[in-house]
Order: sequence, then structure tokens, then C-alpha cells
Amino acid sequence: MGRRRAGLNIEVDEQPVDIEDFAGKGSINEKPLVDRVKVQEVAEASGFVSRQPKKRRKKKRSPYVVQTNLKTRLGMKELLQTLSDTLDINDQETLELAILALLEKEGFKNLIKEYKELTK
Amino acid sequence: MPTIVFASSKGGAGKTTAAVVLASELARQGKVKNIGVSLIDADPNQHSAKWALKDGCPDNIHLIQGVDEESILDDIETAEQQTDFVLVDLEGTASMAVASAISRADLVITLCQGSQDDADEAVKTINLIKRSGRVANREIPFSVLFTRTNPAITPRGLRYIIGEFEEAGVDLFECSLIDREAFRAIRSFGGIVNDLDFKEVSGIDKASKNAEAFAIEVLKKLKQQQKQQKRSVSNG
Repeated sequence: MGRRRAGLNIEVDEQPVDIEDFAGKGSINEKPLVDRVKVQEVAEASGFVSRQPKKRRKKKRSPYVVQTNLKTRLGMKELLQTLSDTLDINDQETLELAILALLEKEGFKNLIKEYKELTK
Repeated sequence: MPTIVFASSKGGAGKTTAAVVLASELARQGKVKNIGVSLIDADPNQHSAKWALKDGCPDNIHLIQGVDEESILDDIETAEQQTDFVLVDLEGTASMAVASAISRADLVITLCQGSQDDADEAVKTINLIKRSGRVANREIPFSVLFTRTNPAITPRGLRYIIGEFEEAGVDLFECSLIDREAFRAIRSFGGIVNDLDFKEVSGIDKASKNAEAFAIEVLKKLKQQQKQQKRSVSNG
């Protein structure tokens, strides 16, 4: 009779890990290409949202920068606004179109040229 | 080859410390074997980049900066072609960049300290990993690493959290990242734990052993995964 019990000889899967086992470029396994739209859907459903600053829309600079204080007859201001609404343009454009129409009617060629220079 | 992602939607959980410790340990072990490590810093605070840019950072660590949620997948794929290991340090928020990196990971390490807040955020990240795996049609391996632990005491709160994770069948690292001065010191001095001056910093040997144990466990998890992959390929 021995002084020690017989071992059960169970195989232990405990091989030392060598960093060299991972040498080599490329992925560890073939990962399917990531569907970015699906990733976004899952992320948002899990409360993971975009933190990227939103791209600011560049506001187009208005060409109407000079103010003119023009007194009109009673009701003329409203008439101008009604006309602009009908044409679906703003008051400044209505005024410019009216000036152009007058210049053309009167045949002021030099002033038409100046008008076109200002509005190009 | 493998892409290891450090994720937790909570800041201060220890992602950067774990990423830096693992990167330096893999670089140390791999130096003579010509193993390269890519360290992708996807955190706008760029803490791991600051470490990597200091003197003493191993030559075989390749830092990738300026990563955002739009570029992160391309950056990971490129890094996978260039180096043997890719480590991704993410921002501590629930962001789209986190989700994108997870979708490409071979191993996600979810960091957790012994607090309820950390555990809640770790669970949030785990849920995302599981959902991402379902849409990617593959299992995304993940494991929880406890950080800033005390080597002498396991507080009741931490014991409770460990118990909850174990009951849910969540894979946990056997080792933890112990709260060591040396791990903080490499962030200010630069370089790796083993290169620190024992006159300046205490507990270097213990921190070094901790870093080594962490790296070995990561490699074991990756090895296990490789085996499973081979098995599933041979089984058709």
C-alpha cells in the first residue's frame, strides 16, 4: 500500500499562452462587414447616441442690408405686402421688380445697367 | 490580429488605465518577437494619447489619434492590417463611437469599479454588446474587469456586484486592476511600469505582476476564442 492516493490523470488543458500565437496582421477571425445602419439602429435603441457636433447649416447672407425709412400713404404698405404674398416673394423683391419695370417702361438704359450691376 | 475594445459608458471607470497597462505589457512581451500594438485613442480627452506621446513609450506601440464616430470603423480596420494587436480606448459616454467599435471587436473589456453606478453602466454596455452581436450575426466576446480594487479587502458592495454578474452568467476577469500608484505614475512619467524608478514610485513589482496577469488573462481569452473559431470551422 502506498502512502499517497493514485492520481486520476485528468487532462488539464492549460497550455501556456504565447503572444506569438497572435502574430500576423489581419483580423483574428473572419468578421462579417459591419452594417453601419444596423449598428446605428441598435445603438440608438440601447441609449447610445451620436455625440458628433451637428453640422451647422451655413446661412445664406441676405443681400438686403440697407434700411430705408419710407413714408407711404395709408394702406400702401399693406398693398405692397398683399402683392408680395400674391407673388410669393418678399417685399424687397417686389420693390426691386417694381423699380425695374419702371426703368424699362421709361427706357432708362444707364439706370437699368446700374440696376443689373446691383442685383447680380 | 485581435481588436480589443475598452468600453464603459461611465467616465472614470478605468478604461484608459486598463488600455495603457495592456498596451505597454503586450508591447513589452512582444518587443523581441516583433509584435506591434495599435493604440486607438477615440476619447476626445486624449488621455492615452498623452501617455503614448511621452518619452519611454515602447517603439512597437503605434498611436492613432483624431478618431471620431464617423472614422472609427475605418481606423480599426486599417489598424488590423498594420499591427498584431489593436486596442481601442473609448470615451466614457453612451455614444455611437462606442457602438461602432464594439461591432468590430474580438474582445470587449467592460470596466467596472465597485459602485452601483459603475455596475449599472457596465450592464448598459453589456446589453449593447449582446444586441450588436445579434445584428452582426456573431457572438461578440466580452468580459468585465474590475478596476481600482483593493488587494487586501473586497468591500461588500463589490462582492454583491460580483455575485450579481456571476448569477447572470457574465464572464468576469479572474484578476482585477489593483489601485496602484505605479499605474498612475506611468501616466505622468511616461513609459511602462517596469521602467519606473523604485525611488520615485512604490509597489512597482506588484503593479508589474498585476499588469502581466491581466495581459495573460486577455491572451487566454483570445486563445480560447481562436480554438472555438477553429472548432466551428472544422465542424462546418
